[in-house]
Amino acid sequence: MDSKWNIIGNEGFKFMGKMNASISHEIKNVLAIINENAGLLEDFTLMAEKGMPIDPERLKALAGKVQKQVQRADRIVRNMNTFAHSVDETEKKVDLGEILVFMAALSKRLAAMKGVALEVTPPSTPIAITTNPFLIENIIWRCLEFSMAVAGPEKTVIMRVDKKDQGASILFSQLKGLSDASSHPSFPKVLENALVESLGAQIVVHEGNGEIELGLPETIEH
Amino acid sequence: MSCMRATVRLSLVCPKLSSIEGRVFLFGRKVLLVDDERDFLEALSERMRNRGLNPATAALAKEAIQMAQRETYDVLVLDLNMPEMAGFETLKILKENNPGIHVVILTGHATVENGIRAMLSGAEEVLEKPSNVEILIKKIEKLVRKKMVKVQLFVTAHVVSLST
Repeated sequence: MDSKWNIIGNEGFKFMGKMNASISHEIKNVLAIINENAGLLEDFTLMAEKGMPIDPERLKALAGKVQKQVQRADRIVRNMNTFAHSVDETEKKVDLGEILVFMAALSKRLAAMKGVALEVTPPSTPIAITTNPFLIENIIWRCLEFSMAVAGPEKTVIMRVDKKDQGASILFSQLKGLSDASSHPSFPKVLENALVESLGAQIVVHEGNGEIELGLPETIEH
Repeated sequence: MSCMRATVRLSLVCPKLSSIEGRVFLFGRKVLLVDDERDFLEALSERMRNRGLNPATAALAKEAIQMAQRETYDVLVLDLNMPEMAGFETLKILKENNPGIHVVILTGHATVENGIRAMLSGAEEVLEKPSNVEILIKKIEKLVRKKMVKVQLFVTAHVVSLST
């Protein structure tokens, strides 16, 4: 295993585990909805056998609901696959806008559990950098987790990617609680600093603006 | 509800698991379903109505707590993974406000650890999603019967104390 993985050690496994647990829970929910709608179809059949007419519109609506859940499951499994493959290479050219949309989709359920909504403003043109995909997902999650804690329930965390001279930056905004340092733990901590160092990145906390800026180089230097 | 519809619906109640007496027993029983998946709530509540039960739904824990304060339910069916407020916290508040409420946990991952924690928090039954509606209704029936026995024991004790 590449020494880069050792930077995060057990935390990397924990991150993988947390995301996988959330994904599996969401798949279970999809299965439960499909199960109940299939059950409803069975109910209609049983009722029809006993002489109650079936409304074709109800059947159409049920089919639509099942199809919607199948599409949802397909998106979840595709994200799961992308996430699993993010450990394949230690350096890869990635589109930051895509990564951010992907991370927002992956974290959506965990954010909802905290009562926080996520919003991504994608860049108008692709912003590509060469980086370590798994480590960048990790640092984005860590920034996001902290942002959600600072924003608090019933709030929206907005994420945006911008092109910079020597790379790009990801901005986490709407973090009103940032200005009150006593209400949240310090950030970044040891692990975030290790990730930042490994990626050649930097984290700047703009307390007054309620923003966290993650600066990323165009390429990781060796 | 027309007579025919009521008869057909009654015949759907636990056809394999419940007796006719059980089907009649459950008719009109109030169940509060709490889950953040609205499509799930919609389908499950319709299946329960098809079986003669009287379900109400809440997609948020706060909503469920308010509903349980306004109305008395025979049984509460609760998901553990809820937005904003964890299922265990919701369960604790609901049990504090309504000590007599009977609870079935319906969750995506019914681990032994979660099961024990749920029981210690006052839940009496745990089921994993996706579940069989007949098994869920059987559990609801069991809890409603338990509640009735408690009421009967209370009334009997009261009558005995009055007559002595």
